[in-house]
Amino acid sequence: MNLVILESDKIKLESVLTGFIEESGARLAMLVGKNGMILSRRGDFAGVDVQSLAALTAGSFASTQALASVVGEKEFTGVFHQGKRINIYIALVADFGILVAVFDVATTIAMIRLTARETSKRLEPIIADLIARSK
Amino acid sequence: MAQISVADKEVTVKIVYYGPGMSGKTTNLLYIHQRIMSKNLTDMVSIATEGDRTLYFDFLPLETDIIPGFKAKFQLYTVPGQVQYNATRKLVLQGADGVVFVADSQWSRQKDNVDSFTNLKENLLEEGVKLSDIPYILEYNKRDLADAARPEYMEYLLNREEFKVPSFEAVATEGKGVFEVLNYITRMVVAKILKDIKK
Repeated sequence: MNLVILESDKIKLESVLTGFIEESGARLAMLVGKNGMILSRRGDFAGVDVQSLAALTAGSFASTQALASVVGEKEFTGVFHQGKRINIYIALVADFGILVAVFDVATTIAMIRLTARETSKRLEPIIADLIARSK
Repeated sequence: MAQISVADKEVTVKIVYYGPGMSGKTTNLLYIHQRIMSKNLTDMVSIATEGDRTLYFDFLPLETDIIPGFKAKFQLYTVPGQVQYNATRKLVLQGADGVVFVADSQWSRQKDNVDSFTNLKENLLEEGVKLSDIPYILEYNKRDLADAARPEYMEYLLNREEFKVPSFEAVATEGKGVFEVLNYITRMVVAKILKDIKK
């Protein structure tokens, strides 16, 4: 099965991600599939190697899910990478993939986490439609 | 699962280099990375241990105009070959659109090749994918070594599925065969995507 993204999908996904950035104060946000491919991205990507960011966060989150099963948990819904200036939050989006948010001191992890949870819910039906149509 | 963005005129595919430990998967990607001249080429990502063994994966993104009117993005990954890293191998294999199986030609490694090939089939099946359903090719690497097994023997060991697949002899440290393999697998993957679209 190939995933086909139409102009209308692109607009919907970008609108949700833009909303996320505005509400949360994140610098950038991207929706990434389990396979490490970027479906949509918004925000300030200057100086960021987006493809590597996607591949590594997908890999990192996949490891986290494997870790969950090791300790007897069904899944971890979020992962936080804390830096001195820059942080990354990764949230699970249904069975499909992840929402990646890169943020700095302009906001807080609590705000990001809260907004990411709502954003994941907004993304789920759009992705479900996209997958159903691609089959 | 390839991703086709009609909106951005982009096709993104994932190709995984699979094979036993030390068969030369990372060396293939390093050679490609060194030789590809592209303004868009970014750094290769490697998660390796101190001994230069791949711990999680290597990742190299490439862009071409192989499909008229579309930008084709190929994401090349390697898996860690060592037996004990099967959990991470499975994760990297998720959603692969094509596989290059890199076999070590040395006599002493033939059992490892067969075990790794069996492991590839098992890991795909766990994802609900049959090996015969995705494009894959065989690369017989390290052909320059004195104790390399004959290609016919490696064909007998590894190329015995229902349908035979293309196989290539290579010396990845010198770049021999590396681009032939890359060209072939990318063409196979693109052909399959175009066929799927026409259905």
